[in-house]
Amino acid sequence: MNGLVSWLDERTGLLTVWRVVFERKVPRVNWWYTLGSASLFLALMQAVTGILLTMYYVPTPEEAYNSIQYIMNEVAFGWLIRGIHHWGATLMVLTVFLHMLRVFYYGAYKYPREVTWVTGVVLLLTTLGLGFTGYLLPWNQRAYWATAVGTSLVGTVPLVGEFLLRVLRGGTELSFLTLSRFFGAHIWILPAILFSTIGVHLYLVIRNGISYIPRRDE
Amino acid sequence: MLRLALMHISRICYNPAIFADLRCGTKLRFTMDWRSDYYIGRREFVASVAGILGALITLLVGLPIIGYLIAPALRASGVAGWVSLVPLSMLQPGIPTPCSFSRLKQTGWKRMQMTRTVYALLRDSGDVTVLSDICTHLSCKVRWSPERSVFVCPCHDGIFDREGAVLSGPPPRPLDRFDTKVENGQLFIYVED
Ligand code: HEM
Ligand code: FES
Repeated sequence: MNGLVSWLDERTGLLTVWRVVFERKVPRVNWWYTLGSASLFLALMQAVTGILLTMYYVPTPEEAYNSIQYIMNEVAFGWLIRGIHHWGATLMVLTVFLHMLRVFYYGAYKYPREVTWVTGVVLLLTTLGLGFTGYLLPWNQRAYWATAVGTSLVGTVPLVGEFLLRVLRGGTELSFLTLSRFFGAHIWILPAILFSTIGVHLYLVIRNGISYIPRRDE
Repeated sequence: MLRLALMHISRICYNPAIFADLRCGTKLRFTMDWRSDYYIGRREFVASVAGILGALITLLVGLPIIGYLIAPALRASGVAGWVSLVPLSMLQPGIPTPCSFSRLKQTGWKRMQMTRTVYALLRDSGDVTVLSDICTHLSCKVRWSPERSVFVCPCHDGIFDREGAVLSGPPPRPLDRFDTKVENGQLFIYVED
């Protein structure tokens, strides 16, 4: 075991990476500082369960609803995989938001961590986008009307609103094109943005170190 | 790792005084006489507990995932039974006649009519053989060629005679046969799935 590790380390520098990532110095902090890691864990969990769901889910108006019924009632542990993805989505929005509040109230966004904050904003928006696009996929009444309303909001933007609405829906009406483009965004575009931004975010967290808890007089 | 953690947990159960040490984060000292290499720091303890919890969670989610992935393989898509094929009077003696039938099959959440073709051969003696059109090599569909009076598989040139026996090519065994019965002049075959 030790032989293997040193063999790998000599060729890859893996131990250095391990030390920089996991054995870095951190100030004495509290439980609020675990919210970023909780968000990361949930993001990975969503990726795993989401990939599993695509094994059975079919993103067309004819099949979407039935394929989800099939997952819930027929596939072994389908209820579990979908349940984790469903509740994980809600929980992730919550942890990401609380994480942002913690950073805000401790003033951890100040120099030199402004860029970390900006990547964080991208992460929050992407997380919300994942929630919004994922909500349509079951193609039931609630999903359909929530998306009808949600996309209509965009239509109220002055001048370009009507155009943006058509881009978002893939036409003037909610249709199979809306479903398939929401699916594409939900499983490819937004996760690609999420995970590459998480990479930058974590790099910055490690590079700048974690801030300490501000004292009362600061 | 597991051994260390279990030892550690059992020791804590027997010795409540250790909790004080745990809270201080110092190297644990035990009132009992332990061999020195049994000492575990708080770091190792937390690491092993985290490791065990991680393994448990992985197992708890990992095993269901296997079931989830193989689920469709575990259910039958159709029901075995007798299927009515053709009236015997429609068959021309000595020549395999293609006969189609369709059955309701369950695929995922959909029930669909699936159509299949089989070949019925009525011999001069009056008995019938029904051959599957699925090649025994790698399951392409064979076709009866009236010009050459053989079954031809387009994939790797497997050739079968009218009785389904292999004449040439890679197929390892004759074409599969169905169980048959005749009722009131109507030919039935037994379909497995
Ligand atoms: C998918 C979403 C996110 C993930 C996975 C994530 C992950 C992390 C992790 C693991 C840390 C280390 C410290 C800690 O956990 O508190 C961190 C720190 C930080 N995050 Fe996030 N984060 C996310 C969203 C956000 C958002 C929405 C913001 C703000 C708009 C933000 C701003 C920051 C800042 C400024 C730090 C540095 C804090 C310090 O040094 O004390 N992050 N993030
Ligand atoms: S599949 Fe028929 S010859 Fe190969």
